[in-house]
Amino acid sequence: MYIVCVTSCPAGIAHTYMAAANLEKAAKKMGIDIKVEKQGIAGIEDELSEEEIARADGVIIAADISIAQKERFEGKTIIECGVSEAIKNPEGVINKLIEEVKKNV
Amino acid sequence: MSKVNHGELIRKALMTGVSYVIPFVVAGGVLMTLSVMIWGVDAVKVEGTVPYIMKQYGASILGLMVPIIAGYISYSLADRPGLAPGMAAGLVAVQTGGGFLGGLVGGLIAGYVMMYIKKIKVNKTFMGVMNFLVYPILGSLIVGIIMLFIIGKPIGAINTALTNWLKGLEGINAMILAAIIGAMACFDMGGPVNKAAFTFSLAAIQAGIGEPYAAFTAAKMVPGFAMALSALVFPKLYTEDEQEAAKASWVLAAAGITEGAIPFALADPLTVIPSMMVGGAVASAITRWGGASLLTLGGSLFTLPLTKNAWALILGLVVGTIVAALVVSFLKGLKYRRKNDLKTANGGN
Repeated sequence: MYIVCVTSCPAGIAHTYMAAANLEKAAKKMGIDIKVEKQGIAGIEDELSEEEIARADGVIIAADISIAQKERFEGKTIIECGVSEAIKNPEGVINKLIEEVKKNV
Repeated sequence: MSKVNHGELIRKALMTGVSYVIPFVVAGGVLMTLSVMIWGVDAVKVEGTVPYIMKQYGASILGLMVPIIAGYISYSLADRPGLAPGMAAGLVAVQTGGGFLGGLVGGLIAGYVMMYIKKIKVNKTFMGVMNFLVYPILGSLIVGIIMLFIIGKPIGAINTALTNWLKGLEGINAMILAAIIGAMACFDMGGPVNKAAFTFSLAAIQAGIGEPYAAFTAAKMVPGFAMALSALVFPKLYTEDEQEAAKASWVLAAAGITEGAIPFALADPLTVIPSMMVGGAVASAITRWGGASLLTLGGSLFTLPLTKNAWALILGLVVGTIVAALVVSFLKGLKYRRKNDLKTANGGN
């Protein structure tokens, strides 16, 4: 299982990075490969490449604002949630995506 | 695609607008306030001089605020085609006196208009023409007609009424409003409720009223300082991780970043959040009582020199921090004792 994520919050200073850190931590614990792109006040950090998106089984968008370049994920299994949900309950968010992925197989 | 949740869509659009407008307000507000600070209120009024030009420069950047927020609200709803009609709507909002409120409404209208225009299906050959010519022209035309001739004036009137109400607020009413802003700022520490209070303060800045943002600034620093203070005085109420977080939380708080206190709130929300809200409300009310005013974003200890009546903000912050720290220590102390009582009771069995 390989998933890619985008996190983004209005100020782009703290929540964006906390959500990213917690998603990464949770995925590691669950034995899932993950890459998280941060869209904060500095712009896009750790940008997902085309190849990474193509390889991903699913996409998590944890954002309180509209993210940039969402069209990259067209045709993918996507779940969207607020940034704070990804901070508080990253395992839950990842599990939700896994369920969706299984449904679409 | 599943059914669209318009409430969620609009909330996200407003937050996107706010997100993109922040740097403009930081730059414009600081440059404007700095020129007044350096050269004085009278010097910046003499046309053609450097002080005058610099103050105007800051003011023009601040003037971009409404078009930018409207543009990015619309962008959030309709993607790139939304940007031009959205900014156009914001421009009209400025001209018709709609201010910040006009910008929010105009941006939403532009976004929805573009969302529907984009649904017009055309032959693939003509898609380029649609994108290049039809979207911007038709979109700006429709949005312009709505804003200029239908809702521009009424919104201008509402905005003026709101601004006058805010300016006329005095004494206890002003302090109550400030206390609400402060409590909201501390409710979710940088989350949606905090951002709602922030957006309100932003709207006030746009109307040239700096008191709400000064109140917001005092409150948003309270959680970080209060948790650090409580953890310093009563270390046994906190886990090792929390004591570590406390060391960072006051630094973040000094920079005006409330998020440093989130680990505490997550670990024990029912104790921490109400305590911080009380402290934040106290901090804001005192700040407003003393007439502190801040017209630039990025509010923190570093913007104190730019703050009018900064003493009130400092006083509010200190008192608010002590109150929040006392309440949270007391509540945590109760919990701690109860836990220990249970332990002794179990040990006795």
